[in-house]
Amino acid sequence: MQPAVTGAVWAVIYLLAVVAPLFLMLVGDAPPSRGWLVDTSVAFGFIGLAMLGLQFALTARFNTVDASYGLDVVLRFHREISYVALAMILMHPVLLFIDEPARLALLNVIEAGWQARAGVAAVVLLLVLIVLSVWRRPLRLPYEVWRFTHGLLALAIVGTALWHIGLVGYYVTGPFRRGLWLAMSVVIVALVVYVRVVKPWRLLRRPWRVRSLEQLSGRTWHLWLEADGHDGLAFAPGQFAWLTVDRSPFAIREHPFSLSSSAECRQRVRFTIKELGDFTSRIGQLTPGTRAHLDGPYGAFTYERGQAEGFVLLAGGIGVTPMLSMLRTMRDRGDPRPVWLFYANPTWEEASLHEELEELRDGLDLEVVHVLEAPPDDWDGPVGLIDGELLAERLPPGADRFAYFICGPDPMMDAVEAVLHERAVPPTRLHFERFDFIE
Amino acid sequence: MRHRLTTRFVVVVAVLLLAAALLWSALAATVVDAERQARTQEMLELAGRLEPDIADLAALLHEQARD
Repeated sequence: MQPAVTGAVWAVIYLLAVVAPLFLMLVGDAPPSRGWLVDTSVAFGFIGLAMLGLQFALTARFNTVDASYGLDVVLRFHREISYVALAMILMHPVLLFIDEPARLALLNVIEAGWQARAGVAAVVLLLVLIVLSVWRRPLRLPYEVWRFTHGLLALAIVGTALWHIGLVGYYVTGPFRRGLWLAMSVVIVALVVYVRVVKPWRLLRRPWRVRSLEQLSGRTWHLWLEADGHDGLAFAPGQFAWLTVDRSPFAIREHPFSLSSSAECRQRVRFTIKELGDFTSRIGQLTPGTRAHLDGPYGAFTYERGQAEGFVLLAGGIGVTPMLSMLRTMRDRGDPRPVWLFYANPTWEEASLHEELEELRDGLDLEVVHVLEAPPDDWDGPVGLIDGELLAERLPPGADRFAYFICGPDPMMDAVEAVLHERAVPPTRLHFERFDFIE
Repeated sequence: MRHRLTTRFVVVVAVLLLAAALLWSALAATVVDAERQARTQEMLELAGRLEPDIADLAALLHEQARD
């Protein structure tokens, strides 16, 4: 099935999963109406809760879902749809207060009953979760602490919301409705168990070892891993995996990196990592034999998703790593299709992979164009950024029929996207990978 | 572009869910109206069945009062 079709199917499944429980509540001997405002308030509350429950599924890294859109898009949807869920949930008490202002007394959690306390707790916890997520960096909350708190708060929110519904007891009458609520609760708990227990346990059974480390220029390293007693990782060139080194896979500390080796070799994989943060700045300290775990592969950034007569790869800095995997795989497979690689860097020192790219030209129909912002004195190549003029000068006629792959820092990707839009490249031929999707 | 498309999709989902909430509350009201109608009908039928008895009782009370 085409990725676009699969994507549409998943979108419909998401919508049905959100609204189906709501409409199933009306099946059989439904409780009587309490007026339009109260009924609408209930609808908002149930929809908001179903959306919160599905947030667990969106972050569970199901390959079938992520392959349709790319994990960056799924995580962005998770983030943006949470505001809609918050609005739905806030509308629940607001409509109740409009219907009967005396209900404002329920906000007094000291005197109000447990059903009101549970409802207020769910809303307050949801607000705390969103504040911590939106302002994680200004609050200087470490990623691992935030991720642990995020999961815990999410569980507490859904738990208190279900408790609130149970205490109100209006739509929980009869075996059918009780079974429905029980099923929803079981699905959410099962998702959490799958993500936190089953998946790490599977990773534990498929360990990897650091085979070697190779330092390149520009604070960049090649990290080679070798499968330890299993058949390795089957991946598509351009995909990425979550890497945990020298820790249990049950630990929350894991980092996404693109694979830069050929997809034809699944037992020895390579990551090309630039020292940019806490974890990456210590990558050179790893020693051969160190245990590692790989959760993957993920991502839709691969030339295997569709047909193209040729490829234009537009890389900024370390964004070249998934393209290395594509090029190595194409060479191993004897792929004759032409490839143009535009590799933009601030300086020649930062263009860490230029030697490997030169070597890859042997065996591929590959044209590499280095673009430098601050070139050395003897530089005779393009200077500045990748722009429309450069593409028009270097690409052959009919290049709009090629597939375009763009990976790099956000500003570079936005600029290149605008250039390609001006060149009227069909959107279906554009493929993006944002490696800073975890904000 | 992918991110703009994602945001647009989120807006579409929000609108569809809003419509679903409104449709659900309208449906909930319809179900209840039918119930109320059924209950009113039952009460009318009951009143119809009781009417002769009530008339007899009224006549009996009237006779007793006259005696």
